[in-house]
Amino acid sequence: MDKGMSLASRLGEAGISRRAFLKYCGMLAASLGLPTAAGRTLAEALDAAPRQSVIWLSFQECTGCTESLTRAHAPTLESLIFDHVSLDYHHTLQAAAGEAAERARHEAMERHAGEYLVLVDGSIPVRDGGVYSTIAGVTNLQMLQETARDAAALVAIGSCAAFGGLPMADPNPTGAAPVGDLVRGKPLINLPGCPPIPASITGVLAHYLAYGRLPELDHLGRPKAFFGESIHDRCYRRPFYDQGLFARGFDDEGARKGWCLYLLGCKGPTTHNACAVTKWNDGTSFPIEAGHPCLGCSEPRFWDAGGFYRALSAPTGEPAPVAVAGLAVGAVAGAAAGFRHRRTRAAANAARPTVELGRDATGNEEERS
Amino acid sequence: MNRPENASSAVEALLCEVRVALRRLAEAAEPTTIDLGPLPLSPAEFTALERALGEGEVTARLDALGTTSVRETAVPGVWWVTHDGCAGRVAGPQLEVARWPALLETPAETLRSGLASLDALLDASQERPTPMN
Amino acid sequence: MNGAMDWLLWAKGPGFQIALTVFFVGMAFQLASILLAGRKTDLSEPRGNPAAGGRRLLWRRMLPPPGMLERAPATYVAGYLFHVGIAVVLLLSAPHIEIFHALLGIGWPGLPTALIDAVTVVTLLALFVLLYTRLTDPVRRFLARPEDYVVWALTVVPILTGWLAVNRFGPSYTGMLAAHVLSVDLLLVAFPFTKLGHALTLFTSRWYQGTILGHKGVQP
Repeated sequence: MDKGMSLASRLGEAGISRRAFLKYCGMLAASLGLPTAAGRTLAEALDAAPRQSVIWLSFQECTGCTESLTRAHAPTLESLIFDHVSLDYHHTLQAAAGEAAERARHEAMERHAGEYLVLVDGSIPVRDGGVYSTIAGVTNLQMLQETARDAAALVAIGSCAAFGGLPMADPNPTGAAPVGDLVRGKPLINLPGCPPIPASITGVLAHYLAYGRLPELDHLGRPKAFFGESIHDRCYRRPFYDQGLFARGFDDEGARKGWCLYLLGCKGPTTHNACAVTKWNDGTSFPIEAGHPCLGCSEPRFWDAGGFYRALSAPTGEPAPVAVAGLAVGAVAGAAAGFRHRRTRAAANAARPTVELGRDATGNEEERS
Repeated sequence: MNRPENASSAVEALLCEVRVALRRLAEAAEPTTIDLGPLPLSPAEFTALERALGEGEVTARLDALGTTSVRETAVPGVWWVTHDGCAGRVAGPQLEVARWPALLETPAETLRSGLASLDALLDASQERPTPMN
Repeated sequence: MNGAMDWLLWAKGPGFQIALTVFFVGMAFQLASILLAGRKTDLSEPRGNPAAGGRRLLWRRMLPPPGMLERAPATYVAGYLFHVGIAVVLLLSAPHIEIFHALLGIGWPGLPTALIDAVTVVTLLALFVLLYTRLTDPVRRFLARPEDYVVWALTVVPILTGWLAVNRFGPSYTGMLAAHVLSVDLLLVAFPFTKLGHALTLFTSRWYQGTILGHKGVQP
């Protein structure tokens, strides 16, 4: 690809008009939570932006994150930005294989030292020296640390890279860990989701291309623009929650009437993501709109959060056996204490000396206490 | 313009925001865009807002990355901008408070290419042999 | 690293299991030891009906003694409000019913969130009124022991954190929910071993008192 080509001319070649680009930039600015005027400056900054070198590392993952980004409806808005970066290494998408692929990664690292972005999907196994996932004989851990060393910033794409995801779920056989636990001292942005919303990936990339830095992040390293609100707070079914109208099954009256899915295990209240706003499949709908509770996929440990179909408030363990066992143990101990009390009292009574107050001539007892 | 009857507090709050933006436009010539996409408005509230703002004189349609429709409201300076198709998923309907919606303006960068294409057209017609009488 | 979510999962997972175990062991222990400790054999002939007396007192003590409502309105009104409020919020809010469903296998319809919210506010106000009277009234202040304040806090914190969480106050809903569940775990652990246990022992003690009063006659 021609590295000198500006984004504007590249778009023109792709048949995307200037006005369409400006429209996209305006919407991008809105989705990033930037003020209205930022759309225009974003467009100008993107025009001037040099082609960004990107190294995409895939570790313990399912390729769903890449699919989310590349398989969106055509012509994709996401591809406008994604096509503008120089994707120097991505072992699913690149044509090169084997030695040539690894050479491409090393070349990019040398040529763009201190400037390239590292995008990671998948978690990294660290148990037993990281042998559970290797690429070209190199463990994922080694590859991550080696590639991160001269990176400008890292983007952990998807819940596995951001929080450990499925590979880290109990009992975590491979000792999987998220990027943030293994790489220190580099700017890191987490874009969790299973998969993440494509607009959030491209939004962050566009922000970086235009302004040369990462957008504002929350306490879990997620961009506030996309993860600032909970699914519950933006949910169109919220009024039903407030009215106490809940679906109790997937085919009951409540489900047909579109009532709140809280009792079916919806994790919307504790889940921060933009699904309710951005939606999926070209704005068609999102899981809750399709009648399925939110799984909470953009939050840490969502696989171990007590079951997808169990209400958020319900305990994650099995309380009934604990209660029965507790009652039994308590009752036996209490009974023992009660009988001990009885015995002590009986013993005290028995030990009490009999006082004889007097005896008449016939020998009959007069009184006895 | 109709008064918002039984309008919810959300609709009223939005109308207040539009008023502030319109004052800013009138006094400082500063435009504002209010994105309604992230706001959890119910369909009824949305209709109430549409009814409150009314219909203006101008309607326009853009065919760029899906269609975008631009409608003037009964309040001069307040425009509905709604996106359909693939753009609809990134941004919801917007209320643009401006003299004209920014998207309708011809991008300055495209003027040169317009000029070039007209030049090409005219050059081609000059090169064509003039028909004999 | 994951903060609030880890706390929440611990609080409603292992934490809740531990708390529930302590609660049930403790409550069963207290009740069994009371019931099986045995009472002195009553050798006298009752003139009245002790069982009827016991039954009567179970209900009678739920009403204020004559004149007391006028003399201590805050205590009685706020007392009723917060007890009824806790019962309503605990038993009739949909998220709580799910906990009972997990425990008992049965559920029941709940009340609208807005109504539960209003009841919660009234309950909290009542509890703060009671704290105020306890702190300002010299007699009550004299009678109060440190345990009374601990028990008050153990009761108020779960209600307060629950209300804050539902209304999205504080920096994070997940964090507030974790605090709510953790404070409930703490309440469950303390329940059998503090005055809170009166929720169960009031029935045994009222019955005991009632049978004595219903006996009517000399008891040696």
